[in-house]
Amino acid sequence: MKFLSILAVLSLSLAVQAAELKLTGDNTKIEWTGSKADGKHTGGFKTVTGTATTGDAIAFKVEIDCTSLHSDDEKLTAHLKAPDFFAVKDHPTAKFVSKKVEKTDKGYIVTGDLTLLGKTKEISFPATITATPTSLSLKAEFTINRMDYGMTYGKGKVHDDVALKVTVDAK
Amino acid sequence: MPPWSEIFEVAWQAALVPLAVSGAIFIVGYLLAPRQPAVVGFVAFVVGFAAGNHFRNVLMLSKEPSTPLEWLPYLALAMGVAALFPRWLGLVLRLGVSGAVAWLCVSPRFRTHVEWITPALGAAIFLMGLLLERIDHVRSDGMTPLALMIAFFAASGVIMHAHSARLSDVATISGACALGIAFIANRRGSESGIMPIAAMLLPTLVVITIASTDSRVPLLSFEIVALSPVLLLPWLVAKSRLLTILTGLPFLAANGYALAKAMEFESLPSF
Repeated sequence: MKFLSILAVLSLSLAVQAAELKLTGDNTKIEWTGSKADGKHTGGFKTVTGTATTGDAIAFKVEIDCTSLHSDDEKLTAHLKAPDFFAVKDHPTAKFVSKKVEKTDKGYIVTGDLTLLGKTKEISFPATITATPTSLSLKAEFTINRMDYGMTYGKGKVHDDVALKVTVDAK
Repeated sequence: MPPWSEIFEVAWQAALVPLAVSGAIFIVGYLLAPRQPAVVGFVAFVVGFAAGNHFRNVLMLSKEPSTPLEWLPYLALAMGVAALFPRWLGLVLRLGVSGAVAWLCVSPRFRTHVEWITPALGAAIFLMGLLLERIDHVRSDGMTPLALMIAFFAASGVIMHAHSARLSDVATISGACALGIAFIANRRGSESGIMPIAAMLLPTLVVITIASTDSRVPLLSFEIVALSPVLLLPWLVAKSRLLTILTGLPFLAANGYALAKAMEFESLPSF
């Protein structure tokens, strides 16, 4: 009986224990799709660093190396890195810091501050999250408005909304 | 090669609109205040640029400017205003604005890599502004703003090959404004009044492009388009039509060479 009690307490403590998992480009994929009237382009970021906290209070802190941006067209990649869009030499990193991760009937809602081109704006997006004390996986698809971050070039030709797909599989 | 619809759109929005607006403002201003070409030219350039910018959305008046491109419109306005002051006060203010441009429009990272760029840019803006203003004043025939148009359009092509359509648009709009003003200045036999602001924008745009883009465009192409107006020095004395053309050829050839080299080493960006 005593053994069972100890096991129960141990299990409970494990369940609420928060672990901090490292996020890297290997376990965290951030992909984007930009569209225009006559087509679309896809790409992502190769280098991502940060942490994901599991446990009762799931949290994320992600830094994206914008210089690692890639796309489906080499010339487009160079254009996207220029001041027309990401201005990577003036703004080499983007950042996302979660403020709350709420569980809902349909999954989770992640809310946090996204900093891009030096401008910070709060965003919320739905996500599917599976967390254990030692691992965390997340899948989310949502859009952001590039105008909110001052990425105004090509307005009217390149659509304002950029679709993002985030996949995390951290252990 | 971009689609023709894109080329027509740029030609209309970034060239024809600012050309027409700056020319119209310049002629109205000239009729109202014929003895104030500096004020008239400055206003015509700024309004013409604003008209092009309205369509192309390339420069914004940021409430908290922090990057070179965000500082650029404020500093261009400051240079235009500084140039309105006469004599020593004007020179001191222009020197101050040249220094501010060289400091704020060169990112700290680039300044660390290329230590001489800040003093060099400041000196180029100040001295080229004085030289071009003198040439424009002595000639008062619209040829100097016409030459600046050529330099801006060459810069636009070089910058486009360095993958920044946005900075290229800034150069195109500036060149179009210079052309609109050049045409009227030629008809009226007036100086243009745009030299300080044009001499500031041209090298600054080029430096911002070098610092903020990655491309195979040779550095020489950038250097030539930024400093090519210095080749107009003989125009201080060469005033006949034949001499103007002959002494203007090196300037024309230099800009053509810079653009050809950019096109040789790099292709146009994708959208």
